[in-house]
Amino acid sequence: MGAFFALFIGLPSSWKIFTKSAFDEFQAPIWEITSRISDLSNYWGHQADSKKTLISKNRDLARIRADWTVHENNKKNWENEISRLKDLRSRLVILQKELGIDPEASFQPIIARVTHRNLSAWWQELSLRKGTNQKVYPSMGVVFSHGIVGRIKQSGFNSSKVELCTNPNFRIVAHFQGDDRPVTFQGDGILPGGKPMGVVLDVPHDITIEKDKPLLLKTSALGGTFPSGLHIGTVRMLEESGDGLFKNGKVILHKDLGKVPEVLVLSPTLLPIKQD
Amino acid sequence: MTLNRIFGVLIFANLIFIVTLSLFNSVIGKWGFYLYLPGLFFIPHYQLLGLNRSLPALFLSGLTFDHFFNHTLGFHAFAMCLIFLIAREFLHFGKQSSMQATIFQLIANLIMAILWAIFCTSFQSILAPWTWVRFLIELALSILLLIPLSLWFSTFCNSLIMGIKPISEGLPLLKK
Repeated sequence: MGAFFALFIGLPSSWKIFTKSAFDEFQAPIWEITSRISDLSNYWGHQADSKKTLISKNRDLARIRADWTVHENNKKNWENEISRLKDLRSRLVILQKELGIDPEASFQPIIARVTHRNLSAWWQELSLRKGTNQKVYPSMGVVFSHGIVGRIKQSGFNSSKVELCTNPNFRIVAHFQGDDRPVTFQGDGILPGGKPMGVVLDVPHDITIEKDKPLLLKTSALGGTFPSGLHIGTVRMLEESGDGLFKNGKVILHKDLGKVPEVLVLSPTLLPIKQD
Repeated sequence: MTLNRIFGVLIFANLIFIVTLSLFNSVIGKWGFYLYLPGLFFIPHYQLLGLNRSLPALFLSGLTFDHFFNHTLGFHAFAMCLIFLIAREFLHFGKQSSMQATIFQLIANLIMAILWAIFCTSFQSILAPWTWVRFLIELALSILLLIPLSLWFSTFCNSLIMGIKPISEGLPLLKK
């Protein structure tokens, strides 16, 4: 067995990668089928909703419609705002060209459903129902309604894996709201009870947190994976790092990060996108 | 031929269990819990197969387990083979009660959980620091669930071994 162990260690990494990708392609249909069965059972479950449930859902829908009508009445104002922003953007592009600055990357969204969650203590990832056939490629950013989710780690034909932002080897450039200086965000696992955590590193010394006024950590466009200003998490306390040059702190991520049923993959617009 | 059939059936049973466990973990993972149950694969049936068949069966199951749960590829494959080699010196099929087999599986599960926690914290810097609180909670939950599962899994493997028969043996109706 010792000889076999030595042989296994000595195997070329290409063989191990091949074995892993073969396992992935075998595994992906299982998660897709179970996810579709779950969706179907959810659909049939709602078919049996009671009148009481339907009435309360209609009440919620009526409130959403009323809100929608208010926004429709403000259409003229919004159109003016859009044209103002477009004008500002075109001026910004001209300035960027004059100064020789690279324009900020733009993204196109691809909606993908989560088929499987692997949220162990040592590794956190989600499986998605879209892959290279739907133009989902590794290193694309993934977001949801409350901020960032992670980054595409691996893409199969019709499935992909997202490395969650709680993973310790997930590191991105970030900044605090209202402060443009870059800091580093790194994942720090999920606590019992499902509380996702991260750490913020390389925080300048003059950044302090007042009592009951936590700082909001946002994404930076410097990394290229995410656009600037997306929510990452909240920092309630900063402490001295070992070297004495910077501060570090714990980042509390959104509690629904591990429960998200659907995500948005951010595809850089340089790639040709075909939405389905 | 019968031994080859048992070999295949045991791998199939392990695969079914790994997929089911992965789906269950996917559901409870939302609340920050995770079941770790590699000890369940040490059912005494391997003693029926002999060393040349039981080791590959455990190795393949271990590799599948590693891949499904994002462990370092080969960790559980080798750990399970090593524990099996040590255990076969004193565990013999038919001689132990189901309670003794369950206790053995609990010990094997505990050893592998500790080995994996040490491996995570010591050698793999890219893996999350496995906090002792989460480690103890998950280990306690896994052990609690392993007791009934161990009894069920043994019965499940028995029924599969009895149920899956080669076509050459013919259907019962045709035999009549």
